[in-house]
Amino acid sequence: MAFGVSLKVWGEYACFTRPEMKVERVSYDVMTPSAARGIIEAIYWKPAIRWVVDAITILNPIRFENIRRNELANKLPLSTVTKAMKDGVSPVEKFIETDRQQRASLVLRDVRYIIEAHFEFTGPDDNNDGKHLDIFNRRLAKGQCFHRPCLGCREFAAHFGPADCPDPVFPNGGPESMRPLPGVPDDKDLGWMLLDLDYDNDMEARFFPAKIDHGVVRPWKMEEAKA
Amino acid sequence: MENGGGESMILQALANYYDRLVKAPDQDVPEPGFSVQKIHAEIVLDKDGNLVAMNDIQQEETIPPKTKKGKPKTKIVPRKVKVPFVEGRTSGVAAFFLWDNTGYVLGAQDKGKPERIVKQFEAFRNLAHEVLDDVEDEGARAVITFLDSREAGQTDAIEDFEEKFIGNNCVFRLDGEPDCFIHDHPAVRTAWLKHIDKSIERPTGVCLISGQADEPQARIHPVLKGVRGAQTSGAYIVSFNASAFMSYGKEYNDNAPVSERAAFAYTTALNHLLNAKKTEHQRMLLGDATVVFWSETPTRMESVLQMFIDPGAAAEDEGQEAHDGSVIGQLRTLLQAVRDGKEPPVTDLLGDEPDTPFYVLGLAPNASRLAVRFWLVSTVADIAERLAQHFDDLEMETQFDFESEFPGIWRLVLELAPARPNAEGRYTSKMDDVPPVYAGALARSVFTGEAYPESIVNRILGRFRSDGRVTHGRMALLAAHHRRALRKGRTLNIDSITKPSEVTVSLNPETKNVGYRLGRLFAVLEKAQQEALGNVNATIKDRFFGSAMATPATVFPRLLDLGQKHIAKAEYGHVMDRHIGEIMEGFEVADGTPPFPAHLSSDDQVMFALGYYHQRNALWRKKDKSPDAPQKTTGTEEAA
Repeated sequence: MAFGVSLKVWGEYACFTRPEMKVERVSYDVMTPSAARGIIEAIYWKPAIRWVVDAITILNPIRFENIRRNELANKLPLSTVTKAMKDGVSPVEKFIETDRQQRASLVLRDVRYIIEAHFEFTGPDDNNDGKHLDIFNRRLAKGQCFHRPCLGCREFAAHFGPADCPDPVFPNGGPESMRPLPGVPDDKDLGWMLLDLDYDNDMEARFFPAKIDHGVVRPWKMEEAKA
Repeated sequence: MENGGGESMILQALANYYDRLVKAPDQDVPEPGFSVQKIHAEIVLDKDGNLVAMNDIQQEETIPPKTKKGKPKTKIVPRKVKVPFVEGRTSGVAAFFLWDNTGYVLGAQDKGKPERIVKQFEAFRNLAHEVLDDVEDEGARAVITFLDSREAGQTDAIEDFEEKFIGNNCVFRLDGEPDCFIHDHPAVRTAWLKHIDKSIERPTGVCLISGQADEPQARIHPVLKGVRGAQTSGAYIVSFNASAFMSYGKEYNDNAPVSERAAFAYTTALNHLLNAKKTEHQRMLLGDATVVFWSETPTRMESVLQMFIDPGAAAEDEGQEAHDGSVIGQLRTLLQAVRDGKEPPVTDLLGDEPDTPFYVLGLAPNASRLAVRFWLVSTVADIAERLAQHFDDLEMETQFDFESEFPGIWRLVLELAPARPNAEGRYTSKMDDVPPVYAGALARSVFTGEAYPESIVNRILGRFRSDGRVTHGRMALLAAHHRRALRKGRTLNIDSITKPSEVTVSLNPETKNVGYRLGRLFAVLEKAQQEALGNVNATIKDRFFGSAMATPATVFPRLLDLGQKHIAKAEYGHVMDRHIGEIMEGFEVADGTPPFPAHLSSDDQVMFALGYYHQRNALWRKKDKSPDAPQKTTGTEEAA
């Protein structure tokens, strides 16, 4: 794969929320392909390219923990915005103190993954693959990002770097740090997992039967996945 | 991969459990489109649709006595029958299919307006026609002929018609088929299911439980009842009841595509587990969480796990129900075998297939919703092994006979609560005083074999300082924490303890650990005070235990000085003096450092409490109990 990239991400907490249990959140066991795409796009993205996740290697054993947080209960209604636009003085605001919900979450602890991905061109313009590849790798090595990438939820910040970079488990990095630790399930069926949203198709959610195969989850292609 | 798979997913595992329940002959689990209802009578027809008889099918039920001395009563109750059912009848006229009250089935009713009864009977007849008109089945033909031959309100033509049937629910049966109602005929069932599928108008799509494409999607999932603390009307796992929970412009359950069928399956299975009778032992309470567990195929582990988790409650149950006492004995034997890891393994004792998948689900209420506290996928053998490990780690000598060697998880959690003396001066704790997350965290550690949460240590050390109760349960928990931490590869913040076996069950006079020796010393000094002064209002334990444990250097010189005075006063002071000398000799005083460190780490504080507990037990134990029995000290070879 000419345009292939690989990067390592890690963090103390992660919550890749299952859609059916996204109110009282329960995380998937493993990072979803769309979460991986989100991290890559935070580092480098242009309208000319589309990132496709090829593989997610699980480096740390899967551990869960419970937390409870106060979260906002409602979104800002569209009507508030339209009203403000019309009269120019109405406030556009929402206060967590007056409209909150306590929500429980079953989240992942101390995760570490290697993401492998490649990009495709969305159109005929700006099709210099070497350029995009170089920009991505340069930004990755320097730790640059457009916005801070996260592990499923905004508040769970993702640390990232090249695949063999130093991390909390292997402070010296190197090839050793790219191999799964003991305790990572070698083969495991994960059930139906969110692949991504099909933005070309009315933002339909697409699912694929995820499984850990020799420590790696390989997402299906969007065309194959079920809507 | 297309169908089964995904055993790790909660709802999927529940849906599979539902499949198992439906196939089990002894369970009253309804299928989609069916429900268990109370039926009083059956209408028996011959093949030509003539009425043969109308029979009372009610049954006798024995009600167990409320008190021990009471006698069981019997009463007549309607029989529970699986009948075709869809929800949604309120005040209007809407008939059920092939069962209903006599107003609908026969057009005979003693209350209500006659014209309404005519409408009811017509609605019943029309529904039967709608579903059964194209069905080739003797039973179906018989019902249709029977209904067509009747006028609403006509009761006189029925022989055996008795007033007592009026208003009661009836079903149909074909003459000569004693155990099968007409709605159970396969052709009738198929027609009925086809009929409901047609009547549900929902968009189709992929179901993320079954993975099947083009299934009608559930808009609202059935309600779940039986989680303690949740609303009595029931709560939901899958629900989107505030706008912040919805994404991408999708409304309600379109946020998570689940088919009607799968939603019915998982909720029915979970409700079955949550509402099982107490005797079925597949549900328990841990803190604020309601825990259910099941295996993929029937196992004995399913029925005994609750007893493993809470042996005390099982014993109480037995006592109340006054079964033969041998059950407790059997349980004890089983628990001892589990703890000691004896051959044959527990799965052999139980007769279970060791690789059978086993699931544990902990649910806690939150508003009108249910939150998943923990979710574990394991096997019967793994669960047995982890329970063995748990009880092995907890092993600790008891102080009193009433203390259980195998404390249940809730009993351990209770040890984290403040102990307060009640009116009789006995110390008790309340579950309300413990933050509920501890129970869930502890249960998860037990089931997964992970180390206990560190917060438990701090909580107990805090309890020692505030209520001063150094109890068997607390010491068992702390010892188990150290043993598990060591096994999981954490090094304790202690120089001398490196193996789980070095955290001993009873007094280990050989260990050089400073915390442990200081704890022993403290116990001896306390004993000396008691022998000198008898019972005093505030002992040195009440006043100094916390500071001696945390900052020995500030307390011990003064305590030793005080101790000498007590010893001089006591009758057998020289015995205590010898003990003190023995313990002091054990301190390794290298290059002039004083034996009392300025402060102890929390790991060392645990060893302090352990030393105190062991030494105190050794001092106070009655000599006649086991004078020469060798004490169980597994760490001696290391220290010697």
